[in-house]
Amino acid sequence: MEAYELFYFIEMKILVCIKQIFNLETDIFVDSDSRWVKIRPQTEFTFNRFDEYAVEEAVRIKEKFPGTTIDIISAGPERVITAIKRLQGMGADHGIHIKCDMQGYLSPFEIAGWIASVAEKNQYDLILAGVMSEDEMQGQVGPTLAAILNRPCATAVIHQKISSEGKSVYVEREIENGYRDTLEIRLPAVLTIQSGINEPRYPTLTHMLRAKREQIEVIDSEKLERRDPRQILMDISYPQKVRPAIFLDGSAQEKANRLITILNERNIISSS
Amino acid sequence: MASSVYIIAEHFDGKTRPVTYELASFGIKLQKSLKDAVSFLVLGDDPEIISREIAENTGLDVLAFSVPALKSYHQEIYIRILSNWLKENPFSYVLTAHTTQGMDFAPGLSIATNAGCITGVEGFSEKEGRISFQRSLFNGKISSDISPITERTILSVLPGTHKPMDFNPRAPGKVEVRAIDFSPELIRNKGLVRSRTGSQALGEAEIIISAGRGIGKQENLPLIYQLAERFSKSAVGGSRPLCDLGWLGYQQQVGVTGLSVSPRLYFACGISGAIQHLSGIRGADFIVAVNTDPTAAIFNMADVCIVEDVLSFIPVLIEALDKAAR
Ligand SMILES: Cc1cc2nc3c(=O)[nH]c(=O)nc-3n(C[C@H](O)[C@H](O)[C@H](O)COP(=O)(O)OP(=O)(O)OC[C@H]3O[C@@H](n4cnc5c(N)ncnc54)[C@H](O)[C@@H]3O)c2cc1C
Repeated sequence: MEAYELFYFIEMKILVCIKQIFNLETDIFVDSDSRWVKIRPQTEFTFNRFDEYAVEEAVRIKEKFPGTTIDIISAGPERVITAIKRLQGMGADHGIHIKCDMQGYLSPFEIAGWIASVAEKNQYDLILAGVMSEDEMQGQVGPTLAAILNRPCATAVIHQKISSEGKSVYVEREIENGYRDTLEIRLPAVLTIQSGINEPRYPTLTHMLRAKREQIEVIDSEKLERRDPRQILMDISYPQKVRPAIFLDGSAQEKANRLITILNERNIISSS
Repeated sequence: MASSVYIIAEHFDGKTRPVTYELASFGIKLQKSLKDAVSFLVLGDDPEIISREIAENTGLDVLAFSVPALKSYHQEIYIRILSNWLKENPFSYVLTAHTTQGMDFAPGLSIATNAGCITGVEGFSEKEGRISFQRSLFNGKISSDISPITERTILSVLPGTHKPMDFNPRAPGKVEVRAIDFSPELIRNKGLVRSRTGSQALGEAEIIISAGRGIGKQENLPLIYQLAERFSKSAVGGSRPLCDLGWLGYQQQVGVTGLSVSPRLYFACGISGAIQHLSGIRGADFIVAVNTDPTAAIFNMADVCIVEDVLSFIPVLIEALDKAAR
């Protein structure tokens, strides 16, 4: 019964894995040697939206179980600190930056391996990540990390509730066709969070200021156990069109008229 | 010992999912390059009927693991049973579907079997004896070729990218069913629940006007409805983020975790064209997309591409439609 739940004795140690990405609405170019993409120098960086849901979920757990601590971790070059601090501003305690200056494709196996080395040391009760990153869309870091750490895992989580003893978590995974799969998972565990699970809050000024002051723990990836990649990027290119498309040109007015003609020809609309 | 390609059948509620046959096609094509044997592995609490059906339809052999605890998909059971089998039986590739099932166990299975893992695979190619797998990056704006550098790789193949071939089997494949008793320790399955009662509106509409994050604010949504009103048998749909924000109901969501639609016209307004969205509109007869970004992936799928700001273009279009109707 809800009334007897002894929330206050539970203190969770939570890690949230986040990724910095660049604004995907800008031009993305294939680099001349096809090894990776190029963007314009002024392109802005932001954070993966799915991770924002994961941080919010962690903050809600902390609100329910005071004494809980939240670490945010991200691997990447110097600039990822901006993303760590921004998400920390939602109410997380510490930031950890795994510094790696490698350019190009990094397999999820290598990244999960680094995070695993850090997580092993810190003994987290719960590790959260976004269901996937918006840029590479592999959806692997969370479940790979879980497997390396030998922890149970659930992906695409749309609802979670830590049990009153803090030993397990009830989880609903969103699956296809309007169903949810419901599970009880033993802690420590790894969950990847699906969008829509909550409404992420904006960072508060106090939290932002604290995050700004706080020293982020920097760990050099070279000092962590190295796991050799199991796959490499051979080539990148612009995708092919699935349908023979036409781009309309001219003014907005001309495009609208042309579209109406096309829709008329296809009997989608009929003008009298 | 020769290596094998194993396909993991996906089934739900006693029925084989169509993607299972897409995987079979993919596996058979892959076999031409590899010469490895291709066969199915099926897991379930009562997998025999499904296994026979797959063996009959594809002519491929099926090994089924009958596990009483497997009322429905279960990550821990899948990874344990599959990895035990795969450790004893050399494989080059394991094919799973890039669905919420395949995505859930493929990475863990790769760690358990010391294999690589490539997810969201759309196709493969062979160059100088090296096989690489295509997958999309950056919301579909870029395509990449990823190549395994281990002997074993787990792949999750994107549904809808491989039409099931005419298998025309000379004879049904062999079916073997093995009973395995395994009780999971870390994850307890508590069953499936229905989360969305689908409204028929989108499924029945001939014209769907769909909104994405590109509409910017909830206040701009009426514009989409006004456009929809200009068409008969129309309905308003949208991308997942708008449903997450509560601007649209979940019954209006188009895509893998929403509805697959096949209207005569699908009109995408400010939608980037992420694979999860596109897989829901493959059946549309005609697609028109409006997006400010000329490189948006939705334009790779659309029949008519309009590079404009939706907020300024739709009023112009509505006016032109009204004028044409007069
Ligand atoms: C397991 C899983 C399941 C998912 N299922 C679904 C699903 O069923 N359906 C779904 O839709 N998504 C689904 N997603 C999410 C999906 O990956 C994308 O995040 C989502 O589709 C993006 O929605 P969007 O195109 O509206 O937003 P964005 O990707 O942010 O795109 C917005 C677009 O609007 C354009 N734009 C911006 N301003 C304007 C303007 N003024 N005028 C015109 N264009 C403008 C931009 O150029 C951009 O292309 C799923 C994700 C996961 C991980």
